[in-house]
Amino acid sequence: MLVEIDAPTVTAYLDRVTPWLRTTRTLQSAYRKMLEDTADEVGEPHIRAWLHEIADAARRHEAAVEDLYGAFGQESKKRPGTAGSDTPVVPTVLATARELIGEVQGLGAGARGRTWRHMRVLLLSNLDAISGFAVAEQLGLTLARPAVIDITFPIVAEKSRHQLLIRECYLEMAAKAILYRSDV
Amino acid sequence: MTTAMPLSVTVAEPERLRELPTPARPRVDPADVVVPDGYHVEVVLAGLSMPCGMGFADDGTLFVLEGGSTWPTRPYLPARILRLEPDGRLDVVAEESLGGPRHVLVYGDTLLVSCKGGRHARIDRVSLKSGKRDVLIDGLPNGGWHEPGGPVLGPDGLIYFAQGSVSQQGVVLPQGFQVDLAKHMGVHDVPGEDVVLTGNNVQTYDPTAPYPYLVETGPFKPFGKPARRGEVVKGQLKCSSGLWRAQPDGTDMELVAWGLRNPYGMVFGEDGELYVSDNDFEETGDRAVQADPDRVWRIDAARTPPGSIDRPAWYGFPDICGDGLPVWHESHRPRRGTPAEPLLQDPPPWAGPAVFLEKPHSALTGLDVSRSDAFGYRGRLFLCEWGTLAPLNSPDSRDLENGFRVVAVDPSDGTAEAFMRNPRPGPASALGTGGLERPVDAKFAPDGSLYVLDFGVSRVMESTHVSYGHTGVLWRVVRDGSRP
Repeated sequence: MLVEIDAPTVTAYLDRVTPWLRTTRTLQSAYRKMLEDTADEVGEPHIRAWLHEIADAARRHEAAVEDLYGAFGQESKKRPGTAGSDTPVVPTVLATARELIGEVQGLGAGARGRTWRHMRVLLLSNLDAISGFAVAEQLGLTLARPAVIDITFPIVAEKSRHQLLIRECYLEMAAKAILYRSDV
Repeated sequence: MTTAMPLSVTVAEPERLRELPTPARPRVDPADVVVPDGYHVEVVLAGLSMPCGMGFADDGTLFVLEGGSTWPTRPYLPARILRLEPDGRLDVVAEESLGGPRHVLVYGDTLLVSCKGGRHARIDRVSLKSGKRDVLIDGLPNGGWHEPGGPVLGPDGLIYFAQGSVSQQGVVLPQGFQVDLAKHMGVHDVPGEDVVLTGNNVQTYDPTAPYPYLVETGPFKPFGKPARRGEVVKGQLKCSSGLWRAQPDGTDMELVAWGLRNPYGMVFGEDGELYVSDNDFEETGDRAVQADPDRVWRIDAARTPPGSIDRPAWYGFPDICGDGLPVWHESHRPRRGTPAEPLLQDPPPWAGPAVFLEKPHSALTGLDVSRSDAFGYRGRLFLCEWGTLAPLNSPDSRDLENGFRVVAVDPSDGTAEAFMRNPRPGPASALGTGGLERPVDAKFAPDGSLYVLDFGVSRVMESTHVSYGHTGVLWRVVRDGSRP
């Protein structure tokens, strides 16, 4: 007897994966856009170089979401015009909204550096995107798909290292942003 | 206990087992499993998620436990108690919470189920009539790593059960960060009798600190708390690494033994003796031990009258290996990691030797005894070897293929033979076959056939360990011509 691995059950589970993959792409794309915007704003040369370095990886991770669809045996609907398609609009809107919220919260907190305020939102955005891949990994484990783990495991590890870097830069510049009212 | 979800079950032709929709285990094929001449293998269930244990009722109904959160703890899948009727119907009896069911004893019209739980393991009683659950015994120190054993029914009418150590190596260390320190801050081992500490502590980095500074941790202490020389730690009835007996309603609980590191499998043999499987120390980290053999203990104290134990038997944890040598002995000095030092001053008398020693990291799990001339091997222990976690816990390349089989152990002389295995060492997924992955429990059915529960695909690499849902299998081994 087959327990939960008959074709209709497996198909239904895989169908439930697709919306999460769309979410993962949206989160990663929004993070990547915010990272590129912030990296260009940074004046401090070391931090600017670090952010540009991890932006390369962020673009690679965003492209890997396409591979995740294949690893789950699902068709990506990235192409505009197809039903339920992902478009660049959603992550752009999400990134812009988060930047705006960060602006408001940062100003309210007395921080005068626009770039530093964006670093704060970048920290939260990457955390969100890490969870996107990490949750996809749990779904891959549940549905016995090693190809998923081959994709997600190194990405989650690399993005976690990036999270440490972003946090460190953000904290290093906090006193200047709040007490000295100067930007990064 | 949560409300059970409906279960999707399909009766499949054998050829569908060769094209399963689970890429981690794309096929299951009894022809790829080797058993002695005169026996053959069948597949009963495929697609189980993290199965951990099972038990038969007298009428042949089989209860199979899907463990929920297991090894590693993610993904957490439904921790279900499944019921397989003799006519082939399969349904869900109950669903447990996080850290789910590990072993089951069918007792009248109830199930006595050990659950790993979170900080504490417990034994639940589930009514087969109403599905209602009550907790018989709770508060057995756990904290993430090692497992409950039993309950099993003794010849004296009492239930016997166990719980492994909280720490892996005698001291809570950051190797267990994900499941120990992160989820269970403050957990620690508890001795089964008063012990005096040597004051030896283990130095290690604190991964929870913003800077990786060194901390000292002592035995029977939470992470980061050192022990003092001559310090006395009081023993408790509900210790870690303990083995108890009690009335089937949970009353009159008595500590029979302690010092059992990971006593996953328990069975009373035809000789009336209690046999317990146990797993070795790991050769990694800050209190590393090389080549500690896996073992099966005979618990002599289980023969004593109930209520008569003044001092529980001690089987060695945290200072003695399965071979009776101390963890700091030359033969156990690690090739990787920091050597171990004595933790107990004037330790209790050792209750060994073991009746059977196995290669390190074979990961001994569930076992049963053959009680049938029709099946053969009468009196032998059929012992599952879940299989190694090397290279995660051993640098020795010889440990990479240990386990992944069922052995038949003669407890009278400690000899064993491989009874059920793949043609070559290792799990089927590594061999590219449809054979055994990780046998986790063995039980003889009332008709004399042997059921072997296979946990499924659990892959280990140097920096990670992942397990896949829906890859568990229930196998049956039948002696030719013996089927009623």
